[in-house]
Amino acid sequence: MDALVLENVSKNYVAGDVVVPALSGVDLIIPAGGFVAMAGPSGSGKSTLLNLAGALDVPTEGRVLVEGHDLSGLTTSEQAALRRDRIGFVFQNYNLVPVLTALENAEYVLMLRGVGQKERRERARALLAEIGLGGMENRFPRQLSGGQQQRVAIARAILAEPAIVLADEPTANVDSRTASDLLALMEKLHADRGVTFLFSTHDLDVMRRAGRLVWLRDGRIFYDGKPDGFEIP
Amino acid sequence: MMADVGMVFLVAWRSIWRARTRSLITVGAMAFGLAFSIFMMAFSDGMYAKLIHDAVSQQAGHVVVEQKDYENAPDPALMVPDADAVLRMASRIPGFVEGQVFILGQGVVQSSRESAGVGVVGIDPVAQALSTPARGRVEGKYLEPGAQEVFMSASMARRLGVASGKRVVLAVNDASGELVQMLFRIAGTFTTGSEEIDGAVVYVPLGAARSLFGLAPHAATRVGMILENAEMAPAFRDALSRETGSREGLAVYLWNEVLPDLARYIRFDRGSALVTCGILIFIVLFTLFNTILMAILEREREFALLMAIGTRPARLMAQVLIESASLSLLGCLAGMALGYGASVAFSGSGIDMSSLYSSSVSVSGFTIDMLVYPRFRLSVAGWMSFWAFLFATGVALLPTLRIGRMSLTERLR
Repeated sequence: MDALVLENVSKNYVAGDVVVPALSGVDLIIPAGGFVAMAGPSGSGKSTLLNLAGALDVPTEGRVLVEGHDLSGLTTSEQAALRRDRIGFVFQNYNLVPVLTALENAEYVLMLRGVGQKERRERARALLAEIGLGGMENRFPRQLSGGQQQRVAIARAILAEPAIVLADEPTANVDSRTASDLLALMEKLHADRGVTFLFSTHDLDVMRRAGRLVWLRDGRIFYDGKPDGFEIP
Repeated sequence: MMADVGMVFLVAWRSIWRARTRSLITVGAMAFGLAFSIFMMAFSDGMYAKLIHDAVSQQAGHVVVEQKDYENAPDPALMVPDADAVLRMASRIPGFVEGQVFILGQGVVQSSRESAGVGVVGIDPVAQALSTPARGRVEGKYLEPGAQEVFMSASMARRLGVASGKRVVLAVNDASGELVQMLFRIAGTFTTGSEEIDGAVVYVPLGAARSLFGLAPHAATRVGMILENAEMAPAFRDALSRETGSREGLAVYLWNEVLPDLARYIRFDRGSALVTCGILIFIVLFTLFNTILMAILEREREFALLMAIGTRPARLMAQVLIESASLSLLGCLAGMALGYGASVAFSGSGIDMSSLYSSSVSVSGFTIDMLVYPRFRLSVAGWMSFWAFLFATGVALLPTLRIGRMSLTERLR
């Protein structure tokens, strides 16, 4: 089953009397196990597409389906439940809860899903160790580097085994070496655990290492295919 | 589920100390506001307790037995025929400390030069030896039981042109309605600072008062019972009512029914104090409101993230309410402790207010003692803290509503 499907999706924003189209007639399928980079100039619609795919916003036209579930008919509460159970998020600014430790941040989604404390602690601890944060479980975000914080954010996103992880420029706020490490981590999780990733990026190296590149321009898909077959305009 | 609730409390508690200074200021404001209010009520309660004690000691009792119609038409004919029998019944009821007997009537005091209308109060000089007039003796001596003496204010003595040792005539209508006159020697003079007493009341021993008004040896117009404290009065009244029944037309009253002006003053003054405390706590609530609002505005992005990963808004609102309730609880506990400490610290030595007033202050003829002993009552402090806590937590509801209305995409941008 496809992890994410967008069918003829459009999104318009209204600013006063002006209607600003952010996405226009986008069709996109992300199969389960995909490792897809999304790129394009600023204002091309990358964040809007991620917001729609993540049930954070609703399209003006078209349908968004996560694992076959149409998001358009969901109530706010059902949207929240879907995000909790089937979608993982990684944000550019890490967005960890500052008063929770790395372990507590990682296990947070499992806690929302009602997983018992013992089990979720074990799973979170094991995953943190797997991604190179063993021994740092009890550190608060302020005690971690940017790269380490983003690793915790990735752990939080994948620990509940979502259908898809949506990552909004996950390497934008770290240096190139840390960005490369983070990408390697995502590749490993994709390869070992079959995690489906859809991430936006401006980083050429990140684009090249993706299995598939979706290039957006003016709210439309300009290119969708192998990264090496695309000449960045 | 329990672990889930535990996480809400954990995040709430840690979030409070994220802005440590702001939280401490909020708790401090709450604590001082509440402590001041509690101390103020303890101060007022101490003043009222002393005022009530003095008033009931001088002219009534916490519980009073009279003829049913006496309050409407005071007349020596409307008497309690056997005051001693009433006191014997009262002494068997828990809370009874002592009883006192009064004979109250109206008359005219005359000297060779002047005359004045007065209230004549027959008292037991021994039981009343520590009353305000007795303590305010200016010259001469206090009354002696069985003597044909009168104790009047210095100002009245001056008006009549007499002094202690001189004689005056008291003219009254006795219990049979006849006009009678008796000669009394002035034992001494006093001043209470209250014009209502100094200018209008003279005291005579019970025996002389009975002779003057033509009453039988055990008769009185009012029998008062002093109790361990005023709060026991309603239950004591009920118990004594059951004992006396409607015997000889007697009725049992609370002190506030026979001293209505004093009761009204206390109600009014207590109301004013409560309003002042309310205003103070209201101002403090704004501090808390501001703290919670700032805490939410600063963390809108964090809340948006938590909602993005599936947290329900209600859970986040509960978390903020727990933060607010925790701050309020800390403030209330600290406020109660401070209020209790301040009240107890002054309960022994009292607070001398005399420097603030150039003359004594009286209410309904009873002088307010300028040395006030604060009286901490856990029930009052508890109620004040409970309401402060409730309002403070309620105040936080308003800013928390923002969470539910938050746009996730805007906050996460």
